[in-house]
Amino acid sequence: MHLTRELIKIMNNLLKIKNLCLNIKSNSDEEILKNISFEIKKSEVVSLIGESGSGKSLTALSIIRLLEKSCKIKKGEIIFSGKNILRIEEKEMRMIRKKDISMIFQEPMRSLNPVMSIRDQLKESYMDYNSKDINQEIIKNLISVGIKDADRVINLYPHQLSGGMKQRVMIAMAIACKPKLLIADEPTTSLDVTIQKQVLDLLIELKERLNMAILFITHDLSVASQISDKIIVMKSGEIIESNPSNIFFQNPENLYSQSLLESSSYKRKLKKNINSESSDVLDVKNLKVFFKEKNSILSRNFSYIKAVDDVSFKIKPGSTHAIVGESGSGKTTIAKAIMGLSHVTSGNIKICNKNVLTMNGLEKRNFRKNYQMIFQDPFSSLNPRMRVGAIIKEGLCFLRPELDTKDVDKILYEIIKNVGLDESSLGKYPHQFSGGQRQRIAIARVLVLNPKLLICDEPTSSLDVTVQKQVLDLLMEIQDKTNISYLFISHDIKLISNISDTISVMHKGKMVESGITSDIINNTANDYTRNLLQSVPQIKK
Amino acid sequence: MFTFLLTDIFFYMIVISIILYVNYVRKTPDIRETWSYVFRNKTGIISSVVLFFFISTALLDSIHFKEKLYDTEADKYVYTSEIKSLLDIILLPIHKNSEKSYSSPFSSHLYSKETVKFTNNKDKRIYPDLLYKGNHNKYSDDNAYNIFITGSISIIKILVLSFFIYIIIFRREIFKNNSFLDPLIRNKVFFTSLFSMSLITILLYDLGSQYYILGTDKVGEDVLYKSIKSIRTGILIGTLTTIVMLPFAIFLGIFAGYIGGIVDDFIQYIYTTLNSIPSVLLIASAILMLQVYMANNPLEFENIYERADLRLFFLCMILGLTSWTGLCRLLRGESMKLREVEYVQASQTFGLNKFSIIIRHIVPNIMHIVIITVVLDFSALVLAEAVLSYVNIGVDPTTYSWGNMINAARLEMSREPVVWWSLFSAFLFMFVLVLFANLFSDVVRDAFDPRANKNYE
Amino acid sequence: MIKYIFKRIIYAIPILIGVNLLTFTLFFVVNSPDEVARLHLGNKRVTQEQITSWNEERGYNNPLFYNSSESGLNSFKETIFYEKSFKLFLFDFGMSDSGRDIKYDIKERMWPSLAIALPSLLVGLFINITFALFFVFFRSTKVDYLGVIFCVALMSISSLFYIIGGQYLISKLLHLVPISGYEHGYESIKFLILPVVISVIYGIGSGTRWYRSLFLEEIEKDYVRTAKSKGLSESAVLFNHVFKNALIPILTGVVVILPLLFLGSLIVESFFGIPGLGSYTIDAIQSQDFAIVRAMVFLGTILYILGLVLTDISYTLVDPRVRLK
Repeated sequence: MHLTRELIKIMNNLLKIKNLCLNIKSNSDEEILKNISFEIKKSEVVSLIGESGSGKSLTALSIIRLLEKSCKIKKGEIIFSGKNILRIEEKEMRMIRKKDISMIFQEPMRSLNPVMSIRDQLKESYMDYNSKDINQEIIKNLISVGIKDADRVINLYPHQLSGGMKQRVMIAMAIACKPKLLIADEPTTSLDVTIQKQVLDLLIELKERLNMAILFITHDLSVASQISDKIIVMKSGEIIESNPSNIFFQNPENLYSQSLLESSSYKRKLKKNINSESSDVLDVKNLKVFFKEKNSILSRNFSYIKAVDDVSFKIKPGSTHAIVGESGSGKTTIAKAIMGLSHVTSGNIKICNKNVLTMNGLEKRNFRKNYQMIFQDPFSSLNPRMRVGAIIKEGLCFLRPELDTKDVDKILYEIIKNVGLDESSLGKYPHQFSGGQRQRIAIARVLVLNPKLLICDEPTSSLDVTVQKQVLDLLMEIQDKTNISYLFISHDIKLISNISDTISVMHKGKMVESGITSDIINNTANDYTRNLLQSVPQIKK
Repeated sequence: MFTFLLTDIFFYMIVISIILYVNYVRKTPDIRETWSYVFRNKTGIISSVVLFFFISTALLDSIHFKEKLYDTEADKYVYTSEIKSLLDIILLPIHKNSEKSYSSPFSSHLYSKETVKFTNNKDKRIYPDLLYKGNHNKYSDDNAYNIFITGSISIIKILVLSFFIYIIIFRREIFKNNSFLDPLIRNKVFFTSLFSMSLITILLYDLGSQYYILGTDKVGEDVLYKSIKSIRTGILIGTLTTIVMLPFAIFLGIFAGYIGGIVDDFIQYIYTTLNSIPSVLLIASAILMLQVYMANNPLEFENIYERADLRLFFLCMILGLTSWTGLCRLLRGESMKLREVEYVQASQTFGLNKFSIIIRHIVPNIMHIVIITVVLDFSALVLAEAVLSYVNIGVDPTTYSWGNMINAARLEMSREPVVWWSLFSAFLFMFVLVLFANLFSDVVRDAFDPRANKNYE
Repeated sequence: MIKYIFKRIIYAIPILIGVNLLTFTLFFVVNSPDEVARLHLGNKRVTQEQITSWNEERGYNNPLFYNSSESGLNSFKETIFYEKSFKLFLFDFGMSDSGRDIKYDIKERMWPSLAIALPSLLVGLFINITFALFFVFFRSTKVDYLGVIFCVALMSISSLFYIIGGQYLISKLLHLVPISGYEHGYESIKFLILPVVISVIYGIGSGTRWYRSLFLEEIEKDYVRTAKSKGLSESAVLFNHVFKNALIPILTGVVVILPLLFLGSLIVESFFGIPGLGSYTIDAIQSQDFAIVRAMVFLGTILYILGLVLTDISYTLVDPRVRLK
């Protein structure tokens, strides 16, 4: 009996990784993967969860043997179809890549060859791509991944397709030879939430139809819970936990897994009531921002892109207003227009009852400290050549010239502690800090000015989930203390619904709905919003 | 009495600014990291040692003075009009006198036969002996043996010197605690290259005092001496040009990229126009202008050395004026990208004016492109000088330069038998300098380019 | 497309005017027309009459920029600058200062220039790309490392060495082809072999390195990783993916200098005695023949701008992301 069970287990195992250890050759010989071991059964969906730097992508690349030359596998085995594929010849491995194991990647725009047509790129995935029926094969394949006008699409080039369609093409390439294992490295991370749902549904359907196993790599637990049979959590190159899905989501064993699960939905702590009588901090009326776009570098025609088309909303002191929308909806343009970083075609923007569009000169300079902004990418929002202290005091010294050096230093010391960093940080450079710490520095930079309005443009989107929680806690704490108003811009509806008081939904430049958050989330009348809300993956228990 | 030639002044200005830059780098940890990559890489170490020797030669050759001689007629000390450099003093044993005409390397006689009268009134056509070197062997009459002894003594000299330096100086505390110098000193490659270069220098010096190692040229001057003196010209052209080029390229490039609009159109107009004119024409006109000016004002330029120096200086200026467009274009592209980067936008939200943003945020973040380009252009300029001298719009014919040597020697190739050593020497020296400059610039580029794969061996 | 070409021509005109102005200034700041005449007639025994008549024949007898003795528009028209420049726009280059018809000379001399430049470009391109692909195939191995050092060494040798050495070796020692000179028609081939071979060898160092770096940049990109994950072999990836993408910058780099090939390489033509446009220009500069110089500069500018236009157009042809509308 025991033997048969073992035999069944071995027969069911598609892929088995044993004690994989990986090093990177660099200035310091680091061990990146430490003794990674797990199994994938036939037709099983295994999700590899981890934050950035956990080693999940490297594990995937090790399986398909596409690591960079600087990575050296120190020891370990990967058994696939009875063979240790770490030891076979490259030629044999290529056959495996073609027929048995396929991979899709995160950024579909960069992962497709920009100068080859879709047909040519798909052709390469097939075994005998010179056969006469190859065109038909390709069209059938594209239809099966949900591209309905396949005969038109095969003649197009990647830049002519949308993000979702590009990812479908990638999937079509991957399943061309009906692989036994599909490795998906964060395939939906850069897609809009509605498209994400479609792609996930597609993957589930393909798994059923082709009896394919999937190794799904992601940092998003809710996405993983939609499709996985087994969850493996990685941290700093090690496997922290490995459990079937239902067991994991009911009751994660490990503390780290628990914190991951908690952080996946942020819950705001107590909040003060907003005084609805006080005057608006921000009043935007009929804002329009149109851009002229040349059709190509050679023609002389212009067409208008209506980035922001007649948008109006108000924010009260101490409250958080969120603007939610998919990419290209115009939300960042609104932020830039308010801050004066983009031109405004028409409309009114009043901050604390003063019209900032008509202000100029000294008045504007003195007024700027009342409204500030923090940006999305913590890596490019700080000048790599300036020390942290200089970065933080740049705005302060310019907008409050009456302060002398001692006062400035005092303020600096205070603010760096308020954002949760050590005093010694002031003398260091940005690259010595992590993403979350850099975002704190960016917050410190604007906080020294005591603004009444802070625009947060996707401040946590590039951060790991546990770090997101810390940054959001900081922002909420600041709001409680100083009664500052936030204009929070994001594509993450789940997050918004937990932290904002009022919300506006943007779609292609137009504001489709606006109102109190709870009303909209629970009782929306708008189709677009409803579709958006339904596409958001919730954790299935 | 010290004389300051125009080019000397600017050369030392550059040296001083490099020292200031080194000081700045020491205080800025991330740039220090980048530079230490350069000096830890094998190729970087070897090429910087070689370049150091070349640059020191140029530096020594840039300290000029006029000798004080006792004029018996006027019964007082007067200054000669001949301007000498510190290098000349050091190389005195090599360069004391000149022969009559050609002689081949390591030879003891002239290259062509001459009719010599003998005491018994018989005229013979023989190879006349060399007068000053080549047959004054120091250690032995047998040439080969003599060379061997001289060479061995040089090696011993260097071994003793390096032993002394290593034990006495490098073991001292100041070097041990310095995080930058200590690994460098322990580095085998550094020591080997330093040792080899010193050995070559001493060998050239010792053997060069006894033989014409690379022969003599048409007027009998030691070719080795000429080649060494030409180092200064080559290095000056490579470095002085950047003084003119950098301000134009940086200001115009950044303004065009960051400010955009009409300013951008105007600057693009300027560099398109400048690029359309063949640089040969621009340089030729500028040199001609200078010549006409000098011909019309003969009193201002009495000293031939100063005249030649002014022409060299002018050549560097005009080369700078014609070569800023490449870097300008690169900086324009980079500034346009930086305009949209988020930390620049953050400063814009503070309301900082364009100029402050440029100085504080744009300039420090384009410096890596500037450094890479400056080092890359150096070798191109050294090679260009040779070509320009051939077309007679390079340096003054009296200046020591490899271009002039090649130009003069070109005709010698058609002689029977061929006189090859002048040409060979000029090409050899130029090749060594340019090769190691290229290798150095490669390492610098790898270090400063944020995307490059760094080779940490 | 027509609109685009038209726009480009409009942009070209201020540049042509600017170039012309600059050339003019450079020339006449150095010498006044009288001095130029003196130079041409031989310095010693010329009378003022001879100078004046020489100037009149060639139209140098008016003031340079501004003629105060005329009124209105004529004060600008009756100047050397206007008269000399205006005709250029009609492609009437006139006569050189030594009495030859410039247009005829240009027509005659452009073929030898082309005969050297075009084969050098094509052969060089082929050799450099082949070497570059070879080194990229073996990247991060000893072969690549040695290859880079070899290219750097080749690059560090002065072009003069290749020319002088090549002339000496091939012609003097081996007597394979003549050192310099030129004959028209099919005989020209034996005069062209040496300059072409030397130009190609001179360009190997920098060309191979440049193309190698282009290929390496493409190899780092994501779509190469996708191609490999499809099971393609290293050579298939190189040729079908990397090469196609790298071809864009390579092609545009080549196209931009295509028109300039007509002008020839000034150095090569001088050394090998080829009667091309390059040596034409150099001789004119050295003999201070303003008429030829301004004609050649004008021509050069037009060809340069033509190159820029062709580059834009070729972009639309090879890069599907850039399309004419």
